[in-house]
Amino acid sequence: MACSAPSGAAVRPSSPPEDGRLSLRRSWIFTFLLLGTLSACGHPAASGTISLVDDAGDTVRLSHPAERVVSLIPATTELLFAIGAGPEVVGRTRFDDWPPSAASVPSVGDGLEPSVEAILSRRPDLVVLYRGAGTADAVARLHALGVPTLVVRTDRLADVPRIARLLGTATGHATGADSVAARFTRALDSVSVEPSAPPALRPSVLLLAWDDPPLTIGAGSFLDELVARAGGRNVFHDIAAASAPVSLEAIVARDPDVVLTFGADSSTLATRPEWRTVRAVRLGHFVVVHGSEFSQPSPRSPQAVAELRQALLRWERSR
Amino acid sequence: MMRRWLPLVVVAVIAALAGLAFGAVRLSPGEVLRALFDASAASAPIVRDLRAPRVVLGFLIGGSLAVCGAALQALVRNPLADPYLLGLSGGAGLGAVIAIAAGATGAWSVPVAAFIGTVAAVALVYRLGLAAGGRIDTRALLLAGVVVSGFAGAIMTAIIVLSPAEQLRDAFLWLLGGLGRASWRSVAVMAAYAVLPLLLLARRARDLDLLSLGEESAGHLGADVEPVKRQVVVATALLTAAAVAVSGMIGFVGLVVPHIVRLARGPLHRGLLPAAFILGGAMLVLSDVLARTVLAPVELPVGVVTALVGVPLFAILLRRSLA
Amino acid sequence: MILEARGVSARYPGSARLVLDAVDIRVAAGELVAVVGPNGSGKTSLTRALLGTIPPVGGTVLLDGVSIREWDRRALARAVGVVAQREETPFPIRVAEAVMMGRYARLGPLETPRPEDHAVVRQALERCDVWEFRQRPVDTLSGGEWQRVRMARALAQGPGLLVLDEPSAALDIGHEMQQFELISDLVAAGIGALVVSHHLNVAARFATSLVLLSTGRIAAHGAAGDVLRPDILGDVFGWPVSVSVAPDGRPQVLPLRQGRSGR
Repeated sequence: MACSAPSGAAVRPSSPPEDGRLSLRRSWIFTFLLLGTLSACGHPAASGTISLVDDAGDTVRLSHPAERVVSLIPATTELLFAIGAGPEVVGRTRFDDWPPSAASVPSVGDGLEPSVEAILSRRPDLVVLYRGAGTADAVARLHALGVPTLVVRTDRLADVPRIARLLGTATGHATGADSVAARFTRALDSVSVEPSAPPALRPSVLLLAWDDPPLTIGAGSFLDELVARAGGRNVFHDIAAASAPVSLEAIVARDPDVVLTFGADSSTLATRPEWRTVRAVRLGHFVVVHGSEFSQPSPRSPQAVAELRQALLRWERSR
Repeated sequence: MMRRWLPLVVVAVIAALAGLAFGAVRLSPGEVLRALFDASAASAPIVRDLRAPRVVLGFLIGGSLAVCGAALQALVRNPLADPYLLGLSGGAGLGAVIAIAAGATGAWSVPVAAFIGTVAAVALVYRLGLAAGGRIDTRALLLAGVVVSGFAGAIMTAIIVLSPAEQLRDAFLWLLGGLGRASWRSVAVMAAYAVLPLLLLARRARDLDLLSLGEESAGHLGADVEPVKRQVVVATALLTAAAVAVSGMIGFVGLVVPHIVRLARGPLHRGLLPAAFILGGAMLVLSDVLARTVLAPVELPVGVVTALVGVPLFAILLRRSLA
Repeated sequence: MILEARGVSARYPGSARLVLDAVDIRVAAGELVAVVGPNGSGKTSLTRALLGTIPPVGGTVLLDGVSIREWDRRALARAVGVVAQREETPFPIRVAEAVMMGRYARLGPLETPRPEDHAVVRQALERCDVWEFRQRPVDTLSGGEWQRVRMARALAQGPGLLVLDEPSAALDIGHEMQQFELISDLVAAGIGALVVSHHLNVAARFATSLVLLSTGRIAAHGAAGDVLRPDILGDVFGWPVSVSVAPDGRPQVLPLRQGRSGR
């Protein structure tokens, strides 16, 4: 079995970055804006300045809503388009594929180990990055060059409305962001199974990301939340990390009702004797879901929950 | 004579018992015993179908790696040699990573790809290590191994870097090694496969003693030097390739165990090879127990444990032998 | 047992220069043939060619009439005992174990050493005066002790012929004489010995015949008195010598002082 369980900031290979062209006039405006931003540093907040605190705890000051945003996370790229800031997105990573119109935005390469030069070539006035070890260096370098950055984590469902609002404030699409956040929360609540629903309706689920060694999804990932809201119970919910390799015997002992995989079929596990010690594998209880709505938390997450719920119900009925 | 083997056998038995008794799931000794004798007991699947084959596979693989390490150390007359010397680490890793990156879906795709990668790398190293007249030049062999491994490793790294994050993680985890593939079927395959290369090396035990004196002296004392070198390269390559295919790259066992045995009972190979097999097996089984229990239910890659255990052990023995 | 080279020429791979040029040499049981000559004259290369380690580009090497290349390695090890100039072991063994390796050519892969093997090893250790070291790891021995151990190993092979490359290089005069007396006794008992040596005078005392090499060719051969002559030696070594006669009738070479300005 070879499958891919995406993390909050999944990255996938694609073609080399394309280049756009910038009119001379816009570059002059940009220069003035940059000078204006620089001169605003060190002064008390002037009127019209937007002040935000990002997930790294840094305060980000923008003299006006961002107009040229480079988004280095698929989740934030999707959110920017969702809140109406799509036209302001001038750069994305090569793995960002939603919405489809994002494909026309030039790619600046990798998101977790970003190329500062590629980013700068898009002349951004705001760069959104994932909070991680690889991006810390890029953040420092961008700051040294006077480019504001927003460092965020997009790992959990609660991050979706929160980051949406953050991005809304940064880009001047606060109302769009509010409506996305509200729609998201409503849709999520309406599609989620009550946590107090009887256990009989809550199958225990093994979220399997990889088989050699067995890799499961833990409570640190939004996928765990999706499963819970879809009415399932992650047998490894006690693992705090987003994912971890586990012993096959631990899987056997926790006896999941169903093996859930994201994007790849796992039924070949039944041919392996050591996996046949797992009851769900022996009985052929495999469920697979496809789609990039399972790659990151996003406004499509309520839809993802619904799909998962349908898949689990289909499996239950077929038993 | 039996007395000399007793400590080794005791260690092996302790390792086997630990491998059966301990794991991610807590079982009482009573439950373990009941599971061993009663196929229908509740914990029988865990003990009989997961832990027991894992113990046997651990012995097979740890033992094979240790024997390969000892034989290669004699071949290249270098105490730093390990089973992955002849380009194996690069070749195996590259084969596996290609399979993972290509999204290969067969249950045995990755192991077979690793095996093919290993064999291809060794064949290349062998070819590069041939001097005029078809003789193996061990120094050229050593250098060729380093070069081929490095080259393959570089390609592998490039593939990993260009892969999606989850494939990167998957490849990395596979490379770190683990006994998770253990089943009675994989044990049978590995055992059947390993018998011939192990016997081949055992048969050449005295020639390995002579080879340690240098090729000229070995020849003068009756060793058929070129065939011995060829057989050692082929046997260790095949054994290590199989071990890597089944359980990834487990380090330090092949390097450290032969030295521990030499320090305890001298370097003559008639005793060294079987003793290394037993001790290597025990060490891997015990490392696997730790890998499964220390952070249960999370399982550490066994290669991490063998390094964490093997290095201090080796350091202690080294200090003692130098004192 | 007879080991002979007939018109042997040899060169090392990758080199155009001949290290041996049409050399004839013969060692038979009961003879001690000493090979002498300046550095680089081909003495060690000659032993290598005789033992089949380097293939000759011309001529033949025969052991008991059979080409050396056709000899089975183990049979050869039982017939000829070799002590090389130097040997290093990365994994130190004990002296007794090292000497036992001389018996490997007589043991099958599964056989353990028999009582007769142990007896031969003991005898060899005693004859080479290393019995008291038998349990010591070889990396704790001095150069001379290690040389004697390797001599014992060669004896343990039970050979009909010995090929010794500088067997007394690291030995003091007492042990050197002891070593050559031993070789002489063995020769008297029927073994043949080819000894490469720098030490002209010791070689002269013990050898049945001498072979003097100069840049790969034989400059002189025969009885010590015929080979060790001032004109020949002065020519080959590029240094003036005088030759006297020891009480036992053997020639002894005395290099002359040149003074501070050299020749």
